Amino acid sequence: MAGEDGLMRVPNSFTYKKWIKYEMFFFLGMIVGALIMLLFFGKELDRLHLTIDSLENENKAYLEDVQKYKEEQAKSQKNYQLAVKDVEIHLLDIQPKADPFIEAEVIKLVKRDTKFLEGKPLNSVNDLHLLLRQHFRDKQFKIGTRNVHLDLKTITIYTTVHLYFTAKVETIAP
Amino acid sequence: MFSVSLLANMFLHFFIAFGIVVGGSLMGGLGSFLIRQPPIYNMTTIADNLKIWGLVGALGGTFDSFMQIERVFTEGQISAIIKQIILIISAFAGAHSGTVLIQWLGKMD
Repeated sequence: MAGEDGLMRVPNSFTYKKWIKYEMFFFLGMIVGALIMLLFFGKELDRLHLTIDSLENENKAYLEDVQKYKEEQAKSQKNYQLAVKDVEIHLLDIQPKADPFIEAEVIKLVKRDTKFLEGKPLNSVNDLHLLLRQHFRDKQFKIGTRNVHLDLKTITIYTTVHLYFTAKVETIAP
Repeated sequence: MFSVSLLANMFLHFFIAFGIVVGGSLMGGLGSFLIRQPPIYNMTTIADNLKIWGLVGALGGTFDSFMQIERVFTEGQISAIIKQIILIISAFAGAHSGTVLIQWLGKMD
């Protein structure tokens, strides 16, 4: 409220009281309006609150179930371990080409040497691959009058362990 | 038999107790809405809790009633205690009516 000199003035007490009345009517109107809105939409709000509570409970139950299933899965995986069931020997190349009896005898001897792998868990066999390579490095078998030099080329580790060899046959001088 | 002042006081006590319960419950419902709580549910709960306060507020505090009861023993006026009982009953009726109204509002679909 600017006076004649353009300065803001404090309203007089009569005007102030009139304004207070209007302002109070305004706030009262706001409250009455809010109450009317509440009466119209209160039930819906209650229903939504109830839905929120029930969904929170369901969510909590589902999270507990997931945790329980994860624990059960980890336990079952721990108990179930893959193990070696069989060892297969493959002779890729045998020089010079020897008779099948020599081949069969070599395979029999290598299988005897690798018998310890059967029944072992795959994790431990995986750790043994260097030991296998060391064992078959410059390995020689004496079969009759011949020396067979074996060389381990490839190892495949799973429930069936595949060992791939090359062999060199030497005749022992009498 | 009833004086005008007694009848007027009965109405007054009735409406004061009614107003305390209804007004308090509605404002409590509004407040529940602002704090994200279920408004109608809280309104009906507050109405139940405010019933006694409506009674106490309408009677202007319990001390006044007890002072009136004391007058029975000191001055021998039995009519005073009967008046007090009537006023307590009308205040209780007002508080109960307010509670029932709020519960009807809460059950409205």
